[in-house]
Amino acid sequence: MNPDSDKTMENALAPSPVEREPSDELMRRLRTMAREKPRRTWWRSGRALPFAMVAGTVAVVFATTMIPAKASAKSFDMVVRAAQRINAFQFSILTDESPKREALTIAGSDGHVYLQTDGDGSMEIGPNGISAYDRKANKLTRFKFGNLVDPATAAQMAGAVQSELAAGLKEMDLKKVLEEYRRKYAASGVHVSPVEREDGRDVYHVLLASPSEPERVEMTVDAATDLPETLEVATQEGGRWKRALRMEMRFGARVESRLLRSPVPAGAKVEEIDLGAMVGDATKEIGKTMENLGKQLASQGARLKGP
Amino acid sequence: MESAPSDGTPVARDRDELVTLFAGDVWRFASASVRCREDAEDVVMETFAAAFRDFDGLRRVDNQRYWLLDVARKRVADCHRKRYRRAERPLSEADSASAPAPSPLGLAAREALGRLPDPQREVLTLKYVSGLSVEEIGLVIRRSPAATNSLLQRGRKGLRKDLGLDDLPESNPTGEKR
Repeated sequence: MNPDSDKTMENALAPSPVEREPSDELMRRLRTMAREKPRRTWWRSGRALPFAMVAGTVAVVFATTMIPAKASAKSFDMVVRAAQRINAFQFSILTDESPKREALTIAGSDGHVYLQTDGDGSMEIGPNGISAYDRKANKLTRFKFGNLVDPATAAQMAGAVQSELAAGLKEMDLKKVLEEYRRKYAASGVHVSPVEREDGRDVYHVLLASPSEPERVEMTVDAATDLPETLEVATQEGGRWKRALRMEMRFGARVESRLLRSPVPAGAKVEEIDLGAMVGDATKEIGKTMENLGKQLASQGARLKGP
Repeated sequence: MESAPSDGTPVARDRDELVTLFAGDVWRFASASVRCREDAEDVVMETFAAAFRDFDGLRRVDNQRYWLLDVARKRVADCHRKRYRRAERPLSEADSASAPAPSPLGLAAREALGRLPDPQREVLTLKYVSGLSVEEIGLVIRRSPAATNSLLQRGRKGLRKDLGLDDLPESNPTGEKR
């Protein structure tokens, strides 16, 4: 690097006075946090394993004798069953795999699913059609499933165009993913912690891990609803666990309402395409769009389920 | 306080000392990487929360400073994702962590830095704000010195182009001081 150029860069990026040191308030908060009693994740037991086992046993005995049944004896089956009752959901998915991180948000309610990918735009899928918004072009394309043909043909057409997308969404189905986990780890790999208090709420942790599996899954579950709040998939790399995917979940009333409506600005260009009236090559172009999004979803779903 | 044998970076023996030693480093990296003071503070808090969760493990890492910067850059990337998702919310000038801006060039540089791909932005920030060498940056981002240097070159080129500094002499790809 040329010294003059390097110096210019250094000057340009030099921290301003505000940036040089953290504020007193931030330092105070950090020191307060430093003095808080450490809250170890229960399965990272290490030397504390015997203590954790005794504490766990005491907690289970206490739970079964003193606490109403709702808060005790949590199991992974309860999580799987709770997932079957979901009517509104929000998944924020982040993958850490190189060379780039990918983020995807999916929210759904009342038969509508809304997807926001990392940079290109968003999509809404409903019973009557699909809308794709291209943020860069500020253009909304509405694909209708057809008024010009009979419902059966429209469904068939929509099905053909949607096939890749549908396959991707299927992979992202939490119910299916949890069932898959149950099958894979049923023998010896399901570990459920006692209910504990974290950030003012009762939660429990589920660890799905088996010596025969190259990945493990950790979940934090809301004890009141038995629905998972976070799910992390880690894979082994050089003897160490490395996070491959993190998913944050919200259900029911906790779903952010802004995600359950179209993010398309009022001035966006709109194009309407009637899939029912289209034939031949015309559907192929649309199919490609769906295929790309479907592949992205399938890839996220595959990561979620592990190798 | 003990010193790490490798490069003299101090080692924190307890959580309070960790804050004393490295809060400034993490803050400078975070505030140079995100646009809002609140976001920068969140990055710092989350980074130290991660460190405190397994402080015993952190005692055993080779260099606590690199470890913290590595966590901070991941939190910054998370922050950029969230920012993207709520990008429709306008940012006021008062929100800017870099206010008061050091100079028009500094302000423009920060804007341009934010437009670079994550890896290039990270290495430029680690070099020019955190003051790390190429080898040290490589340890933080877990890439070879050659790959790190290549990222730096591309980042500088992108930044120069964005800032209209192309009249400066081209960098020498093999002449990077390490």
